[in-house]
Order: sequence, then C-alpha cells, then structure tokens
Amino acid sequence: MVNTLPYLSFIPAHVMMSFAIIFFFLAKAVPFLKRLPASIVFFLVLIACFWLESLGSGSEAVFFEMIQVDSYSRLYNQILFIAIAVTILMMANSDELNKDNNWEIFGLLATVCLGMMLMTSATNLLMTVVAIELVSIPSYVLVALNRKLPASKEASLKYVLFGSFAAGIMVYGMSLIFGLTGTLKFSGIWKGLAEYSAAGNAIYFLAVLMTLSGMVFKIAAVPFHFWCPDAYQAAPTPITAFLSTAPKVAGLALLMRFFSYHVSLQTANLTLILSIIAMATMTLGNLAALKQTDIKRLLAYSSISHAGFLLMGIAVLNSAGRQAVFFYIPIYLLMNLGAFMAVIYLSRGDRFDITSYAGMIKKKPLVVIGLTVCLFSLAGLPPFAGFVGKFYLFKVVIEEGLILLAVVAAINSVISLFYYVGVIKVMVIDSEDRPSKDIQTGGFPVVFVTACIVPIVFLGVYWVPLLNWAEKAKLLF
Amino acid sequence: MSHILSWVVFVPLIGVPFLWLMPAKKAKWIALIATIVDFIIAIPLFTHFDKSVKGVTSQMQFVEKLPWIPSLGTEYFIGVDGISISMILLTLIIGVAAALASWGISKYERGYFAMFLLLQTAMLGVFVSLDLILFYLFWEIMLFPMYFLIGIWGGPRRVYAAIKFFLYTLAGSVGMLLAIIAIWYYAPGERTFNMIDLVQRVHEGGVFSGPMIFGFPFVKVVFIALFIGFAIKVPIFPFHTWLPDAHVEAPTAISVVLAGVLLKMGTYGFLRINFPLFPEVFEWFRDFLIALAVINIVYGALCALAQTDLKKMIAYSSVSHMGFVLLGIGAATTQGINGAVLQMFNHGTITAMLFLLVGVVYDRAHHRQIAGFGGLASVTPVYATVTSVAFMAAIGLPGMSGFISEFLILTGAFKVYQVATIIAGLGIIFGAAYMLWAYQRVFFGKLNTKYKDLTDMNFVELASVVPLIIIVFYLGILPDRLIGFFEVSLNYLSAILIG
Repeated sequence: MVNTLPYLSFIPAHVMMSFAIIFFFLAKAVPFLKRLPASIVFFLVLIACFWLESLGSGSEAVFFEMIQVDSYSRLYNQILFIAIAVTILMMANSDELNKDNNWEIFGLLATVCLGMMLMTSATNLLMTVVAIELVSIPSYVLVALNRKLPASKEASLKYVLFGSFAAGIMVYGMSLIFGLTGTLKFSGIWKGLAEYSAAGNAIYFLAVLMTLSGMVFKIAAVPFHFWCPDAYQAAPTPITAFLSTAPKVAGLALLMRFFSYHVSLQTANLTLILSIIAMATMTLGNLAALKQTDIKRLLAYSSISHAGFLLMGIAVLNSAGRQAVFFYIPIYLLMNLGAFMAVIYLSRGDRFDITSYAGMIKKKPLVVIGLTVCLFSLAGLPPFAGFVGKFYLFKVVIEEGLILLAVVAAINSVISLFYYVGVIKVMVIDSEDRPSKDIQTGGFPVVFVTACIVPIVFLGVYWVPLLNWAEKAKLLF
Repeated sequence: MSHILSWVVFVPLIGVPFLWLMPAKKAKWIALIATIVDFIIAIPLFTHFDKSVKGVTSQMQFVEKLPWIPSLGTEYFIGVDGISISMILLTLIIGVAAALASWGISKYERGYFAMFLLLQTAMLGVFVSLDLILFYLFWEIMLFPMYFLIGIWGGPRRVYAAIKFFLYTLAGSVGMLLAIIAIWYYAPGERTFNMIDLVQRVHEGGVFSGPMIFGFPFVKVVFIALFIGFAIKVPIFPFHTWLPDAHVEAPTAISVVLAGVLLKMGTYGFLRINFPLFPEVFEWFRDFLIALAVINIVYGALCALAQTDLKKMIAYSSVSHMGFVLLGIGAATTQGINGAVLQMFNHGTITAMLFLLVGVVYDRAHHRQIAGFGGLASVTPVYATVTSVAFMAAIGLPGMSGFISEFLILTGAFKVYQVATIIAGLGIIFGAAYMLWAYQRVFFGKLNTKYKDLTDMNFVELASVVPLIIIVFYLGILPDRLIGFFEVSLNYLSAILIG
C-alpha cells in the first residue's frame, strides 16, 4: 500500500481548495461561520491558492500518475482563479442572485474549481472522468440557481441529460481504448493506438471520437453544444459569464495535454478530426447566433464559435498552436467577462432582449462604449486584442498548410461581425422607442468594464507583454 | 523635425481628447484646427522630399523604424516614396475640406469628430505603412469609425448602408490577412513583414515557395486574395454595390472622404503591395484587369446616366473614374501608370468637390432628386457657377486637372490595349452626357417655385470648395508640379511590372 500523504505537499492548491469546499458547506450549518462575509472569505481562499501555485516549481506526477503537477497546470490554474475571482465580483454587483445563499453558491463554485484544477493536470483518462464530472455536476445546480424561473429548471435538466450522455459516450470510448491498449495513461494510449491508427482502423477513430465527446462537451463544441444556449440564458448572468470562460479554459487545457502525447503517425488524422470539429463548431455557432434576439443566447452562441476558433490552435497539434491558444485565453477572458459585466449593468430588471438596449448610448455612454469595444474585439477587429488572438490562430493554421480551415475561419469572422454589430447598432444607432425608467447603479460596473477594455485596446496595439507571458507556455512541452 | 511622418499621422488622433475639453458646439473647431495643423506640419515633408529617389524597392524617405513585436518580426516601419506622398497630400487636403463640410453637424458633435479624426489618422497610416501588419492594422482601424459615421449621422437607409460597407470591406480584408500571413510564411529568404524588402527580393528574382492551394499555384491564389481585398475598396465591378449605398446615405463630409481618399487606398494597395510582389501573376492577370477597368468605366457611366438622385449619380461616376485608374495601372506603361496616380489625386479632389456641392443643395432643399429642381441658376448664381466648374472638371475639360490624367492614361493604354482604350474613350462621352444632362435639369429650365427663396453658398461652403477649384486649375495647367513627385518612383515601378 502506497502512502499518498507525502504527495499532498506537492499540490497545495488542490488541498486548499478541498478544505474550502468542506468549509463552505459547513458554513450554512455552523452559526459562527455563517456570519463571516462569504465573498471575502472566498476571495482570500483564491488569493491563497494563487499564491501557492506561484510558489510551486518543477514537474511531479502524483497519485499513481493520475495527475501531473507542472508549470502548465499551475499557469492554467492561476487563470482559473482569476476568472472565479472576477465571477465573485460580478455576483456582488448583480441583483439576480439571492445573497443569502452565497455560502452554498461558493461551495459549488469551489467544487467546480477543484474539478477544473484536476482537468488541467489530469494525465489519466480515469482522472479525466472524475475531473469532468466534478465540474459538471455542480454546474448543473449553478444553472438552476434562479429557482423561480421555470426556464432555468428546464435548462438545468437539459444540461444534466447532455452531460450524462456525453460522459457515457466518453466512458464507453475509454473502455474501447483500454481494450485496445491496456492502459488509460495519456502517455501510454497514443503509443498503444499506433498500430491501429497506422492501419486506419475504424475502431481507432471510434475510440478517439467517443473519448473526445466528453472533453468537447466541456468546451461546448459541436455536436455537444445544445445545452449551452439554454443554460447560458437561464443561469444568472454572473454564472453565465463564469460558465462561458473558466470551464472552457479548463477543457482546452485538458485537450491540449491529452493530444500532446500523440505520436507523429497520428498527426494527420487527428488534425483532420479536430479541424472538422473546429469548422463545424464555428460555423454552426455563428449561423445560430445570427438569429438571436436575447443577448445572453447571442453571447452563448458566440462562445460556441470561439470554441471553434480555439480548436484551430489545438488542431495543428504543435507547440506553436498550444501557444496561440494560451495567448488567446486571457484575451478571451477579458472580452467575455467585460461583455457580461456590461450586460449585467445594462439589463437590470431581467430584460435580456437586445431590443431593450435601444438608445442606451445616451443613458450609459461609458458602459455602452465598453460593450462595443468588447464586441468588436470578439469579432476580431483591430486595433482590439481579439484581432491579435485570432491573428496567431490564423498564423499557426497557415503555417501547417491547413488552408481550408483558415478560409472557413476567415468567412466566419465576417459572419460573426454581422451579429456583433447588430447589437452595437441597437445600442448606438437606434433610438429608444419608449422611455424606460432610469437605471440606478453604482460606479463599480463602469470601473470593471473599463478595466477590461483598457487592456483590450492596449494589447491590441502592443501585445509584447502577452507574448512574453505566452512564452512560458511554450516551455511546457 | 524628427519623426515628422509620425506626427503627421497621429496629430488628428491627438486632437481627439481635446474634443472633450470644449463645449460640444465648439468641437468642430478642434477638428478643423487639427486637420489644418496636420497640413502645416506636413509641409516640410513636401519641400524636403527628394524627387529623384526611386523608392518602391528601397530608399524610402522620412523613414522611421522602431521595434514593435520582435518575436513576430513586425516593426513600426513607416516612410514615403513618390506614390505615397501624393496620397498623403490628397488626404491632408481632403481632411481640411471635410472638416469644413462637417460644419452643419448638430448631433453628438464630439462623437462625430472623434470618429472623423480617428478615420483621418487611419487613412494617413495606411499610406505611410511599410510593414504589412502595420498596414493591415491601419486598414482595419478605418472600418469602425466609418461604420459609425455612416450609421449614426447618415441618411434614412444609413443602417443598411453602413453594415453593407462594413461587411464588404471586412470580407475583403480577412482574405487579405490570410494572404499577408502566407506571404510572410513563404517569403523568399528570411521571413519578414517588411513590404519594401519583399518587393526588393522579388525584384531580384526571389520566389514564394508556397504549396499549391486547392490545386492552384500559390502565388496566383495569394495574388487573387489580395486583389479582392483591394478591389472591394476601389471598388471594382462586381464588388462595387456597397459604394452607391454608402455614398448616398453618408453625410456630405463622409462622402467626401469616402470618394476622396478611401477609394484610393484600394488602388494604392495594388501599386504598393499586390502587383510589385507578384509581377508574373500581374502579367497573367493584366488582360483581365483591363477588362474589369473597361467594365467599370462603361458600366459606371451608364449607371450614372440612369440615376435620378444627384448623389447616386456622382457615386456611379466614381466607379467610372476609378475605372480609368485601373486602366492606367493595367497598362502599366510609364504614361499609363503616372496618369493613374495623377487620376487618383484628381479624382480625389474633383469628386470631393462634387459631393460638397451636392451637400450644399441637399442642406437647403432636403432632397437630391435631379427632377425635383430646375432653374436654380437664377436664384443661386454663385452655386451654379461653382458647380459648372466642378462638373466640367469631372468631364475632363482641357485646362483642368482631370483632362491631363485621363489623357495620360488613354495614351499610355493605347500602346498596349487599343480596343479597350477606344471603348474607354466612350466612357468619357457618357461622362459628359450624364454630367451635362444633370446640370441642365438642375440649373436651367423653368424655376421650381418651391426654391425661389433658396440662399446661395455661404462662406464656409465656399471655403471648402474654392481651394479645391484652385488645385484643379493649377494641376490642369502645371501638372508637372505633382507628377514630379511620383514620376521617378512610378517609372521604376512600371519597369518592375512590365520591364
């Protein structure tokens, strides 16, 4: 029997987060804890985790090589902590959530966070299943937080069904892989699959595709995207912002680690599979977004199409591609979180139809400008950072000679502009049809959105700081 | 003054924060001052410009080079040669005229002028950029101010026109971006975004080592991708349909900028990047280009003839006149290509004038239907006179600048494409027809009594048009003053393309 306790010292942040979960769920029951300010406690936990991650160094396989704690996972975990911290800020400024339930909500969020941390460091398919489920199950509950809204129950149920369906397929795919190779370790399975992939065996494609299904479910890629718009629409907006960013980042990190072990023999067919998924995802996401009248659904579809774009970087299966994805992620976080914060601010009173934003520029010029910048950036228009992110994705794809993928992505960029500009048009050009009551809110959202768009514009013109940071990701593989 | 070129590019942008220091009603003064200051500090650019230097592949002037994104190999690299300096002059002149033409803006003044100044910086940036990424950045930054300028301050169908403009141009430029990346990746020699180096290497026999793309040779695909990106801007048939909409719906000043400068960016792109980088493909493409040029000339003129809206007529006349530019570039003989750049400049000034004048009558009558006027010459004599000058310039009357450039283009093109040139000559006749016919219907005949109290042009309106008239006459008599700037560069470019 191996004693696992010494390993704990290598993964302080995981331990920290685990304790946090226990703490959060206890808080509801223990009267003394209940009086503590929940947001601040969670904030401190996240800061502590962030700090612990930054202390770590080296690369260590722990828990029977189930997870690998290395600079890659540390970097991604830090990004996740930031995303969650921002979500807490957004929750504090939203009136969609009952603040009495903060302890429970944070308990759920902490559970998701632990799951995501395991996703970024999993090196075994078994751990992958555990990690994905650990993220999924609390997410189902988070979507249903608006208890009064019937739609949220429906969305949550949909999410549960799709989630279990995807997980089932994934586990079945894993059983195939295990049958073929006798191992579930990332490092072993690709080598084990080599002879099947060389022969172009159908079972190889079946096994890989089925295993992929669980992972693409988390980044909401086609064909496992159906849950996404409903869940995004029904969930309270801060939760939507969270779901559209953090689990996606974790899913991408998992995909990249999973594919980084592939053998060169498989490059061509894996690239083909991933390119097809990428093209389908961005195209379907964009085409569906064109018809949306609800801002949250629109952003949901936009996040689907972004998943497609990000898959481009994974499809090339080299370190340049991983770097491009890594490079895009902070930009994506800025744009999406900024956009959702603006949505929270502009949509007081649960009205999320885009038409209700008509003439908003007159009432809330700063936030509307902020949202406009975020949307232009999401569309990939210079001089905003979204362009730079897309540029690097295009670059790695063209370097690999995947011209069709590049062209499809280019066409999608144009399509996406249409619906983003549609929102901008309503806010800026249209005039208000009937005056609504004035929105009274504090200055925080303005500060928040500004804090998002300043780096978006700055990095759009001078992105060396981000490149230096992404250089770190290059060293990892 | 060091960094003079950077100053010229960014002075309009520096003006933007000042807009918020003034009351909204005074914002127009900031814009006017910014454009005039920009013009003044640019003067040394023209006086110190060495006209005997070739440019194109090397020896750019007023060069500034700063590292920007070292890992990508892209630099803040700007400079001018004969081709760009004439375009900068045009942009600066049109900038002042357009600022004056914006005098009547009374809705969200600050926003309007902020967008206007941003647009001005972006346009100047396009003409000075010598790095492909920098070029692309400026090229794209231009889009969203234009979208808002048309979309917010435009006419009744402004939303449709603005999004159409936006999508058309973006569709073209996304292909251009892919082409730029491909050019960089498969560049002869070391990878670089430096367009001057690239042209130099191609000129010295370097080849792009790219693979076949969808079964077509690499260079042809990249050439076409770039070509479409630029062609949409020119605009070349069949990509021209955004232009009449955008022109008609845009406020006067923005039509002026659109026709005066924006359209030239397309043909500038041909001359700076597209054709010199792929001279062999240009050779293969030339016949097709000439055909497109002739279609533009004749089709544009026929469409103009059929218009009932004065502004739309002028918009189509732009399509026709830009066809001449294409004809000159396609012929690529020294006269042809010199004529083409001269025509770019002249079309900029003349069409700007036409749009300004349409704006004058629109501000008063609130419509632009040609048939809705009549006999205006008797109530607004000054306006009628100025308009007659502008219309004559557009027709290409000898003594005015348009004549020289069209003449040069036709002589240059006749050496290589006789039939096409003859058909293009017909375009001039059509041009005279629609211009004179429209003039006659608006200014002569029985006075429409609705307009018997129409006021004549005011000082601001005259101030925006008269300098342009002076330029038109000056260049009609002494075209050498402008040709001198770009002659050496263009003769060299002509030698690269067909020599």
